[in-house]
Amino acid sequence: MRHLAYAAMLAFVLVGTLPLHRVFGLDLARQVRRVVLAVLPVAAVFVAWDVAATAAGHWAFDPAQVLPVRVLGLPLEELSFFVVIPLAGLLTYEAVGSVLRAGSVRRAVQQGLRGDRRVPDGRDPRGRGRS
Amino acid sequence: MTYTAAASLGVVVALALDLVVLRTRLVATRQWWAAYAIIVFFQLLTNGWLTGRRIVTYDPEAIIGGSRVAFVGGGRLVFAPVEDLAFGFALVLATCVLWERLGSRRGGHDQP
Repeated sequence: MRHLAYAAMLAFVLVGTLPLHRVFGLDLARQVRRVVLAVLPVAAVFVAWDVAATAAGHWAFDPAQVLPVRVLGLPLEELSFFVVIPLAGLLTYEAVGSVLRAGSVRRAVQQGLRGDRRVPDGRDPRGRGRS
Repeated sequence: MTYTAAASLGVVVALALDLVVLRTRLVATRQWWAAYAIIVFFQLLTNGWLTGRRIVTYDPEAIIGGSRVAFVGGGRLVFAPVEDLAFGFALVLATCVLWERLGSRRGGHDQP
């Protein structure tokens, strides 16, 4: 089981964030292209950085705590990190957006579970300038 | 380039992307900072797992801290090098910036 130590962390992140999609009625699943275009370019840059830093010895992975699969010299989990973490970030960002638009977590969840995604007129959904 | 320098550069690039290049100005919004507050809490947890268990180890020459993996102190926060905070901030901010830039929602109106 020890070789699953890194994979378990990614699973924890997905288990914690994927339900946000349903609970807050998010629409990432209907905007797959937008998700891919937001995640992949950034992931490409960070994977390049990671490959270079790993090659330079800035950091290293314990072979006993990762799966044996290597891609570009990185454990599969490390590569997955750059999809899982940004996706969790987007889900969190959008869930927070739905809470700010709804005015409370409770109302955001009620509207989310109902599938009601109305944005009140004249309000910046991101709450710009009111922080 | 050390991890310290690379992580700092990452933050500068992400901020430039947000404020200058794409002008999404996420860092001027409550939505970004509220989301980031949640994200950074879970980053400390999950990164603490990766570094506290020595799943990932760092070259003391590449980071502010040394080889000692402390809970807090010596350039570390919940076992992880402080540089990881900059790394995570840049990663998630850049992704959310692209997401907003690609978005159909503009000026508070829900467009199809």
